[in-house]
Amino acid sequence: MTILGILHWVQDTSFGIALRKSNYLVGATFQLIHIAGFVLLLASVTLINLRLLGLALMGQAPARIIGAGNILFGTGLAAAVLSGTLIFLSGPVRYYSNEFFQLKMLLLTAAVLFQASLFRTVSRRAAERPLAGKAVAIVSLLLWFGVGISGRIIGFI
Amino acid sequence: MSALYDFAQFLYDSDFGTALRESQYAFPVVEGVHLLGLAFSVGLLAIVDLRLAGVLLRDEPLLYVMSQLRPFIFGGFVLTFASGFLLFWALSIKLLPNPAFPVKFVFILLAGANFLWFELGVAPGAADWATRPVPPVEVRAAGWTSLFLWSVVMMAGRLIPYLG
Repeated sequence: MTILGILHWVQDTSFGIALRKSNYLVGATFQLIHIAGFVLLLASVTLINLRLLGLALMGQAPARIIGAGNILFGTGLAAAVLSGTLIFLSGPVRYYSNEFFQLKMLLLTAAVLFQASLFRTVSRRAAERPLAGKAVAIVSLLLWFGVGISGRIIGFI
Repeated sequence: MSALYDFAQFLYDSDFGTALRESQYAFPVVEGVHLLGLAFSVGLLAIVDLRLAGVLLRDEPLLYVMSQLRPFIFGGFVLTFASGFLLFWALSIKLLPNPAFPVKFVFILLAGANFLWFELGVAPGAADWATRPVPPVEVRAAGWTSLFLWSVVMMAGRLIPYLG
């Protein structure tokens, strides 16, 4: 069974049909949660990376900024992923065929994997190795901003 | 009111407005930039608001957090307003009858009023509370109010395509 075949099946389950046929304000509500969650996520990524880049809050140890930022990061990511999943399930075949949706999912996967592996390890030791901290900060910003821009384009293509 | 409509019609009919409206990629990219601007403006401001509310970064001195993030928040607002104006340039006359559009601007004004009240009425007394983990009630109220008002602005903005 191909991915597209599975998505067609998902789309025709009673849950998929209910989501698709629901009032347009239900979809709008998911979009509101999605944007609020994602802006929270981007804000925490920006805060942490400004510190790692040495552009702000240099009077505070990176670990303290990362700790506070991670609370917002987790909250924002959870809200964005949950609402995003529901938005996707309202039209899985249509989203899957959108090239900017594909780009967004690729960047999102890369961003999450990067954040959980290299970024996590290096940013923890940013106080001793600030240059490595700057490098992972640039990659993190590019990936997450890329997710945001490609995501915003989906609805216009 | 009719002057506003005339201005919107002028923008809508201009070569630039038409080109941006009809472009395949430029318009969505401006939408993307508007979102990134939000991360710096409303997003970083939300972090300051949560510090004012005594929720986040409690151990970091308040005035230090505010002064450090201020240039990025202002820069973010410049980016958000500039990209927002371009979006208005492209859509102008179509946006005016949209109920979400005036709501968005009323709440921007309210958020601005809350900012002025904080800067002029609350911030001058900062010496007494700026190093406390949880500031006094009027400071916490200013933080929660800003968080609420900007959330409404953002949500009203996102609802524009649904109510048009």
